[in-house]
Amino acid sequence: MTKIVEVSGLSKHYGKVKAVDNVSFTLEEGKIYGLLGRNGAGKTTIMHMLTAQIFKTSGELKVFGEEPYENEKVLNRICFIKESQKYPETFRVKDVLNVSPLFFPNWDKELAMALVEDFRLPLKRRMKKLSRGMLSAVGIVVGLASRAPLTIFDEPYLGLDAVARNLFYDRLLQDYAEYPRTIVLSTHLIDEVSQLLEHVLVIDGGKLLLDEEAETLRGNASNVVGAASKVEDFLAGKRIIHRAPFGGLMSATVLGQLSAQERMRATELGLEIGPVSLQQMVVHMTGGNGNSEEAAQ
Amino acid sequence: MSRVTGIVKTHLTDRLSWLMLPWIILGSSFAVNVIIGSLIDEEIKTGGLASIFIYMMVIGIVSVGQTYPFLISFGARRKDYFLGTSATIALVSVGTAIALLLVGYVERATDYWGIGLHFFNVPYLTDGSLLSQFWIFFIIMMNLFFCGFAIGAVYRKVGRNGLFGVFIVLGLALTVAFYLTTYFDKWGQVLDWVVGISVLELANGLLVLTLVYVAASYGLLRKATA
Amino acid sequence: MSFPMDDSRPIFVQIAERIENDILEGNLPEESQVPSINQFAAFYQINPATALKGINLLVDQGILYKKRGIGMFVATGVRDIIVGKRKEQFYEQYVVSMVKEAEKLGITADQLTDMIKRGAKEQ
Repeated sequence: MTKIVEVSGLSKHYGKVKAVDNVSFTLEEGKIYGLLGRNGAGKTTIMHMLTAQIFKTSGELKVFGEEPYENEKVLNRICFIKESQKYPETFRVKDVLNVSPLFFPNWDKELAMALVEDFRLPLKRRMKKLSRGMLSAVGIVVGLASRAPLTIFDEPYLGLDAVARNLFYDRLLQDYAEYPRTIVLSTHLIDEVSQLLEHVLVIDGGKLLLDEEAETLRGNASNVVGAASKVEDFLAGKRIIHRAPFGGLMSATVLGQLSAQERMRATELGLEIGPVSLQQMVVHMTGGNGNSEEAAQ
Repeated sequence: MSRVTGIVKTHLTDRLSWLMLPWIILGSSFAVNVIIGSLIDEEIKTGGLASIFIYMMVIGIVSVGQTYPFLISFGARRKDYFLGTSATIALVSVGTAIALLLVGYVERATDYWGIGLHFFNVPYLTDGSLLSQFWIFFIIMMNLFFCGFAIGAVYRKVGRNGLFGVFIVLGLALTVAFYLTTYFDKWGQVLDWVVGISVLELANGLLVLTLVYVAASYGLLRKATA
Repeated sequence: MSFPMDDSRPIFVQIAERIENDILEGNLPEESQVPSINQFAAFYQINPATALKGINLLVDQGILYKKRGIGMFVATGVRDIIVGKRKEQFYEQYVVSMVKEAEKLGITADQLTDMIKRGAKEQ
C-alpha cells in the first residue's frame, strides 16, 4: 500500500495551548478514513497542516512523500473542503464551479453538474446568500467533482437534511467505487458515516487516541453491567473507557474482545454483557469524565 | 504557470470589482463635473481623475481578504497567488492607462467637451509625451494597488493590532522627520526639491516605492495562514 | 439508510449473514450471480472494502465462487452447508444457554423437552 500521508510527532502550539500534541499516523492510498473527535479536538488543525494552510510547530509531515508547503506537486493532488470555507463576496455558485477546474486537474464537469441538480443548488445565487446546508452542498460538489487523489471533508454535512446527507453518502460511494482515492471524513457526528469508513482515527485534546481499522473496532468494546464491586473485580487490568455508577450498580465500557471463558465468568458473577457501537465507543473515549483510565490491577 | 493564469482568471471572474467599478466611479465623478461645467462659464480643472487611482488602493486592500483564504484553500501556492494577483493588476493597469490616454485624446479633440472641462488632462501629469503619460498613469495605479495590497497583507499576517502597530510606527517616523526638518530649518530646501521633481522622476520614485510594497506584501503572504 | 447495519458488530460478518439468509430464503438460488462489491457497498451504504471482506468470508467457506471477469456465484449444494452451520450456531446460541438457564431454575431435561413441544404446538 502506498502511503499518501506520513505524519510523525506532529505538534501545533498556540502559546501554551497544545492544539495538536505529538501526533503520528499514516494514511494509505485508496481508503476512506474517519477523523473523529469532539469539536476543538484538533482535527481541523491537523487538516490545515496537511494542506500547508497553517504551519506546524514541530514534527514531520509528508504528503505524497513530500513537504506540502508551496509544493505544487502536492497541492495539486489535494482537495480540502473546509467547514468554514470563505468565498469572494461577489462569487455566485457557478463562479465557484467555473474556477474549480483551474485548481483541480481531475475536475469532472459532468459530475459537478449532476450533483448540482441532485442537491438542487441555485447556480446564480451568490455564495453569501446561501443557507448553511447549501454552502455544505457546494463543498460536497467541489470535493467530489475534484476527484483529487487526497480529498478531505471537514464536517461536510452541517445544515444538510437527512435526504441530502443520504445523497452525499450515495454519491460518495458511487464515485469512490469508480475512481478510488483517499478520502478523509472529519466529523464529530460518527453515527451516520461510520459504515462508510475503512479506518478510524480518534483525536481528543490534540492527541491521537485511536488508530484502527473500523471493522476491528466494531464489537471490540463491551458494556458490562452489574453490582459495582463485581464489575470492578471482573474488569481488573482491562482498559475501561467509561464508568457510570448507578446506585450500587455500575455500567462500565471496556475495550478489547472478551473471551468465551470471560463471558462465562461474567455470567457466573451475575453480570450482563452488552454490545457497544462505534459511536458510543468514541463518545466514551472522548467523554471527559474518567476516560480511558487503566483499571487498578 | 497554469496555476498563475488560474489565479488571474479567478480574480477577473469578479468583473464588477476589477473592470466595471473603477469606471463607474470615474464616470460618476466625470458626470458631476460635466454638470458643473455646463452651468458655469469658466474653465474647470478638476482632480476627479484621482478617484480611479484611489480605487486601485481600495481594491488592493480588499482583494487580500477576499481572495487569499479562498485561493489558498483551493490549493494555490502562495507564490502563485502573488504572481497571479500581480499579473491581474498589471493587466488592469495597462488597460486602464491606455483607456485614460484615449479619453484624454478625445477630451482635447472635442475642445474639452465644449465646456472647458479639463478632466482627463491634468496639468503636470499629462504634460509629457504619450509614453510618459502612459508610464505615470500605469505606475500610480500599480503603486496604490500594492500599497493597499501590503496593508491587506499586514492585516492577514498579524491582524488588526499588528496593522495599528505598523501605522503607529509610520506615524512616529513621519513626525520625527517633520520635526527634524523644522529643527534644521530645511523646509525651503524640501519644497524646492518637491517642486523640481519632473514627472519622469516622480514615476521612477513611485516605481521604487512600489517595489518596496511588493517585497513587503510577498514576504508577509509567504508566511500567512489561510 | 435502507438497511442499517448493527454498528456493534463487524459489518463484514453481517454482510456474509445477509447473503446466507438470501440463499436460505431462495432469493439467491444456487449458481445465480451475486451482486458486485460495489453494488453491495452502494445498497447498504458501506465501505467497499468491508463488502469485499464479507464476500471473501463466504468464498473462503466455499459458499460463493469467483468466475473470472464475470463475478461471484452461489456454489451448488451450499444451502445444506449453510443450514448445517446455522444449526450448529442455533445449538450454541440458544440451546446451550437455554439448558443452562433451565438448570438454574431446576427444570429437568424431560420437562424442558415437554416445554419445547408445547411451544411448537402453540406456534
